[in-house]
Amino acid sequence: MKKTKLGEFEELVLLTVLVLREEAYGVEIKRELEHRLKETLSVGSVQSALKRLEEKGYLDSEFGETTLKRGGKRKRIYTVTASGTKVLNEMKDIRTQLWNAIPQASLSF
Amino acid sequence: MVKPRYLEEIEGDMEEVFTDYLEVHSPTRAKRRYIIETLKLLRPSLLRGMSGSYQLNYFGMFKLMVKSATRNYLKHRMVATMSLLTLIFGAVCFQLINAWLQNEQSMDQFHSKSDRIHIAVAKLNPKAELSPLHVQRIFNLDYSKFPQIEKSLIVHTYGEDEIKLIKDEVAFGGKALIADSTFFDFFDFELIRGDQLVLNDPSSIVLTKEFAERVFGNEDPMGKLVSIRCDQTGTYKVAGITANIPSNSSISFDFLVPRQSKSFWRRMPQDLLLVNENFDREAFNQQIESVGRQNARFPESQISTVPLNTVYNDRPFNISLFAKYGDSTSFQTMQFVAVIIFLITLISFVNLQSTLQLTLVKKLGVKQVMGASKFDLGFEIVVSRLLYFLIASGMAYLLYQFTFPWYVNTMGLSLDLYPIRYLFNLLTIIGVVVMISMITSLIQTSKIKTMQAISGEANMLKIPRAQRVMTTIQYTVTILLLVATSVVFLQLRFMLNKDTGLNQANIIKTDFFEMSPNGAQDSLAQQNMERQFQYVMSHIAEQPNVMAVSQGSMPIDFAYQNDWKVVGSQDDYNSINSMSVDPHYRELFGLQLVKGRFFADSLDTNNSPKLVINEAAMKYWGIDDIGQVNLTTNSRSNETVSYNIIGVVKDYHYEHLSQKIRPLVLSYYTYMDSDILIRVKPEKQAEVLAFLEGLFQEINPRGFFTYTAMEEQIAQQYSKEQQTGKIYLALSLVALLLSSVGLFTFAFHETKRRTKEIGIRKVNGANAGNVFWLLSRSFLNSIIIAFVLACPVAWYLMKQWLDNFAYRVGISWWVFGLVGLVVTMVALIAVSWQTLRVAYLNPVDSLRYE
Repeated sequence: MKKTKLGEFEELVLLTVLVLREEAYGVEIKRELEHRLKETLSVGSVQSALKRLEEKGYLDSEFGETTLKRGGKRKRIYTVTASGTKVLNEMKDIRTQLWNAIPQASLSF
Repeated sequence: MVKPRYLEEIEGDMEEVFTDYLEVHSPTRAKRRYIIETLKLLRPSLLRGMSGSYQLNYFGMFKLMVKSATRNYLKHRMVATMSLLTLIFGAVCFQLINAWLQNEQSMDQFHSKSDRIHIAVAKLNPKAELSPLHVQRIFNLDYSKFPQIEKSLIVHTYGEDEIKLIKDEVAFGGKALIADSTFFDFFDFELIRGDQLVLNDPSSIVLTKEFAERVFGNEDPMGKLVSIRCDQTGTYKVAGITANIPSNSSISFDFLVPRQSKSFWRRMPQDLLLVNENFDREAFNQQIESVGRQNARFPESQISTVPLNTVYNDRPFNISLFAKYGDSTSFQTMQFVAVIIFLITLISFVNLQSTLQLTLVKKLGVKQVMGASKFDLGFEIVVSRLLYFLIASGMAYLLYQFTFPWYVNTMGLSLDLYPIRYLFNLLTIIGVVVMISMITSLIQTSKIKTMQAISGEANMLKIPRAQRVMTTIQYTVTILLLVATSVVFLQLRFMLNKDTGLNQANIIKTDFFEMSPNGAQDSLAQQNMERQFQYVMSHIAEQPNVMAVSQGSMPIDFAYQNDWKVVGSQDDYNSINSMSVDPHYRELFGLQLVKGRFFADSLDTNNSPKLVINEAAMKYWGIDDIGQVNLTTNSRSNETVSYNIIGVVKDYHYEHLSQKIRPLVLSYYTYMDSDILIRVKPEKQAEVLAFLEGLFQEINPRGFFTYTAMEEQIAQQYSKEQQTGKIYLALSLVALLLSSVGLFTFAFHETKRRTKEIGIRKVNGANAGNVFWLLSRSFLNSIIIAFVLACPVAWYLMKQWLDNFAYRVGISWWVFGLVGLVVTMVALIAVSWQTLRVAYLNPVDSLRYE
């Protein structure tokens, strides 16, 4: 567990990247997350999460095509690496295990 | 700001977000959100790191640098010590001059209202000199009518021998100002005890701290009773003590007396005006110019004002209220000399350090190969200079502490002894010099290529031409200063030894009787004084050691100006120097007659309308036969009296020798309080003085006997020239020393560089003499060039200076020869220290060198 340190927000970003596939670049990720979380996010928060994930090796990226909307700047399309998928799975397993371990009685509330 | 590799992406994102906002919100709102977003981008993970953050601190590096600088110092002990000494001496000398300059510049500026104080002056006729008269009373000018004048102050000045302060029957002479109660509104002399209103009370008196200590010793003077004696007498209570008069005050006093304590003071006072912002001097002068003409006595008078701030430097008049006057010429000269000293110091230090740097080239090369960047090398230079700065500052401050009192005493300057105030200046000078040397060294290092440095090629670097030029300039300036010093001294000796046409040896001036009190008409006191006067004069004349006694003006004291004209001529009155004498004056000074006769006891009486003039005066009025011409004056109340000229004396010098002999009028016009002049037998002065003192005590049991010897007074007359000479001498020696240090370093480097060459020359048969000359010649060249450059400039400048003197020495060629010889000798000594060593070196050693 120690190796796979993943914050809650980072986990969400990582999942969004998986969901968006080819469309996974900065603003699109932000938009998707805002839509799902129903709250506004800043570019900075998303970007720093992306950079951190890249440094940890869970994300990979390459430049995409340019669009007029972006003032001639290229998009950076993110893809989840193998270790990224692995850590997501681990997180999911841990969560599932924990859910299963909860006694039925306390769940009924 | 953003890490470069993220830049494009984030910029793109921001653009896209902005367009999104634009669709939803108004443009202004979108912009605002954009700015907020941008601020939110400031996160450590996105920002570019601080450059250099990969290195934790410079301490280790710094320690290394200090170590290497110390090692450099120890290895090149000679050059390094000389650099330090240059820096210290240069800075201290510069600061010593600077202290004086600052003092001059700040003259009277400590009075916060100094720029608003003006002095009322008047000219009795358009040709007369400006004199600060009691304008208010003489011309009936009411200052309170002018709204631009805030306050007026009337001050009488009584000199040291005109007023006495008496405490317990003991009389102390001191300079007194009899001032209105507004004195402290005008001037900011600091009161240690008592308050600003102290002069409001007519029974109080204010002493300076110094004078109070003289009078009271360790006692507390406050509240003590003292009395004063001049033309008035009165008893006062000490109610205030001021701090000592600072050296940058042109006005001085020992004690202050409230003017309203007596209704009449005999001395002519000065009117000082404190004006407000609306004061326009031009307009005001025009307004009051003709006010005095209502008075029938002064139909041509002009009244005006003079700002206090100009009095010190312009000396528009000479009154005893001001203890000293400045001299803008010597101020400029000193400024010039200060700049020269600074330049010489700068050039010497920079040259020394650059030369030292040249010897370090190989080391720098090796360091660079080991991976030191240019930055590191530069840093090393900075650290080593910083060490110089610290050491030099500390030592310069110590040296300054010790030399400053000595400097003030020897040069006879009046400067306050607050050296701490000047520490900052010292630091600045040293800082600037070190800074400039640092920059040149950095440039020098950055030019050297690593390969050259290692191969030792750079070790063969010649001294850059610029440095040679600098040294030549240094020597030029030094020779200039030395020539100037010599000429000043020659002129001084000339003036002190010049035959003035007067017998001035063994003459003593003294003064037995004070100005008779104002109410002296009461005959008893007057008769008593007359009896004493006869007693004194006859007793002095009977003395076997006294050769002559006379009453009159000492020839070197200020002659007073009287207005004279020839009776019956159309000319206006002209101010002519006048002196009062008695019939024995001629015998006393050995004056020679050209025509007629001198005053004689048997033929003339005191106050009779007869005159003796000098040859210059005869020429001035174009008089051929003195029997035919009478003179008249308007300066002594009665204008109709015509004066006979009874004789003409041969011209003699009665003023500073910078003046040509001007017309002089002598009249028999003495009072009992006129100075008594005595010529004593050579070697008998002490006995006569003892006798005089006894006689004086007999007449004035409570007074102090004072006297002046004429020769001392003459020496004092030329003290300014003497002071200039001393300062020049000291500074030119410093300049010579510093320049020689520069030359020495060149010799040091050059001999090192050519060691091998000399070895080869010696093997081929050159002897020590050949080698010595070969090495020395190149240095002597720069001195010869400097000499050729300096001579005409020095000749021109000194000719200008000598033109100030009516009687002057010629500038002879041997002055230049002597200076040239001295400079060459000193330079040779500096150079031969190194060259001789190399010249006598065993060729085997010098070939093996490196």
